[in-house]
Amino acid sequence: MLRFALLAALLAAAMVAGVRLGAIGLPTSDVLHALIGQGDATTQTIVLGLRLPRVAQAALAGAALGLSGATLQALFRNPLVDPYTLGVSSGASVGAVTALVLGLTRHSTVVLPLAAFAGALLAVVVVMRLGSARGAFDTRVLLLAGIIVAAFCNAIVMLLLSFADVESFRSAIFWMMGSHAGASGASVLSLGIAVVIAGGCALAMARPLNALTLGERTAASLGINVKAATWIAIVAASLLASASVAASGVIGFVGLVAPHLVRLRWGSDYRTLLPLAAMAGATLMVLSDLLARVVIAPTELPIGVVTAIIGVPVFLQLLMRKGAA
Amino acid sequence: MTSAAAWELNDASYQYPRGPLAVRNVTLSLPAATLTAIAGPNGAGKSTLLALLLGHLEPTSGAVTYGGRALRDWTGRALAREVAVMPQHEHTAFSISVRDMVAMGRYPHLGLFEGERDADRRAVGAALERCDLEAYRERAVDALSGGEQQRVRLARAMAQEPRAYVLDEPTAGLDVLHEMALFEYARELTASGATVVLVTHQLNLAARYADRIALLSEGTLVLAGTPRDVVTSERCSEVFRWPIDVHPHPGPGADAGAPQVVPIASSGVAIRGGPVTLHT
Repeated sequence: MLRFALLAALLAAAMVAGVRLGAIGLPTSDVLHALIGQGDATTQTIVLGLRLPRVAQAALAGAALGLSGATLQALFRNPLVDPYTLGVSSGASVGAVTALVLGLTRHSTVVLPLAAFAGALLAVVVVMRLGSARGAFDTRVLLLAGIIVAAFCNAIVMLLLSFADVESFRSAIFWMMGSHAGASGASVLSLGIAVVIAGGCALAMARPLNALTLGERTAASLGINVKAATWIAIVAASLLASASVAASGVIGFVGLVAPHLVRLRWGSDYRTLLPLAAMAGATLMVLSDLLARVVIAPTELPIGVVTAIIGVPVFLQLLMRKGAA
Repeated sequence: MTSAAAWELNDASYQYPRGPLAVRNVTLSLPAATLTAIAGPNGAGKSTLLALLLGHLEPTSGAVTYGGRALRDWTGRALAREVAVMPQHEHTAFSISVRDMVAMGRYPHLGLFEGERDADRRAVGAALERCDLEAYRERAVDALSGGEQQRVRLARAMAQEPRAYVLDEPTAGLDVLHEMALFEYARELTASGATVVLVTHQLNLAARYADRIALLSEGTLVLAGTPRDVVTSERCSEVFRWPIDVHPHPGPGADAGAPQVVPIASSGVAIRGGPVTLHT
């Protein structure tokens, strides 16, 4: 239980820092006053209207990506996959941008997340088909499939955006590098719902996922309904990744780094790995967002730059270890 | 010991989609509480037969039953409480401790969110003890030797507390110590009332340890019976397409007299294609 307390404390500390620091630093007392509706109006606007939703969205998106990455890693039996490397996030962004460009999002707020989910699901299924074409999943084929799917999706996003004038709403940079700048109460709420539902499904699949890391035959011999477990996990991982993309665009490597860090320290039992990866992902995302805001304040770095700088070395290290094995 | 059949194959065949007829009209009864070895040359259909026994494949004609019920009528979970499988090899994608791996054997007994109960912990502890793995509890499975990893998989199967075990080439790639240990474990399991089906290329050990041997060749069951009935010079030479002598095991021990195959070394044997002829 100590590990849960430790990560919860880290996450809480990161979130407090996330609310306090920024273009304008705020003392803790001012933040507390603003939270209970006191203090001057500017501080209240900054804390309640801007930073709190932003930090909450970052935490939820990080948790969603951590859960999604860990789930996909069990499905593909590979520590190198996450929604970003498999092209799942890019698939979600194509879905979202398509809905935007066709003007479907005007009718209902659920259209964009649904379209993102459809895009993510399609991308997972395509990569799964490509990756298992020769029997077991081959790391090289999987990664190539992910790169190709992501490249194709990015091209589609650019194409759609250049035809339609929706750039004023959300830029191509947003869909390819991500940002938490647009966070609002509504975006936090819908992301939160997705994390609770899909995260719960993933957690219910913890034992089947453990068994699946040993291969489908072994999982079946342990009484796991492989087909059902695989589909539930695919849908949950897609929902988590797409909810994150719909709220904050494509942000890479969080889904790869968070489960990896947890595995290093606390092993790979999915019953503990999933909640820990969610907390690690949330912490990582809140800190990355904070860095993106303060490094060259008042200008913001794209958060994808920060997560890539953290994520790429981890990815390369995993790749080299995998190659040596 | 009961003589009821655990598995029954009735004129069962399996043809791969647009592929070969891998199992042809096999009628075979695998009695409960006995050790049956399935042997035969590479490509004889042993793996396909196992897949039929486990319900991974459905016979394209004929029937395969376990406990009197067709395999397709068993849910995966119910079957996993009856039958444990020790796979030939298994790739661990992530590092996992011996204890956690063996505890996976309890999955068929646990509900979705149910934690381990005392009975589960006892079963895991007993399996670790029986397989002499207590000192390895916290070690990572992928850091163990091949023989030790096989013992971990056997312990996982034991933790399932099944009535039957299916061991798929359990000694492939193992040294003498681990090979002998595995056959000893298999015999212990049948002595305690379990049914064991074991696929092996180790004819000599099968002849000493197994109650029955089912010999397959090109998808067909050549003969199933006691080792003395099945393992004869003439039959083995024909099935394995190599001249083979059979001598009784000199003992000492309970298996004295068990037929032991001795392939004859010779130059000028036609290895590929056609019937084997000796040019001496």
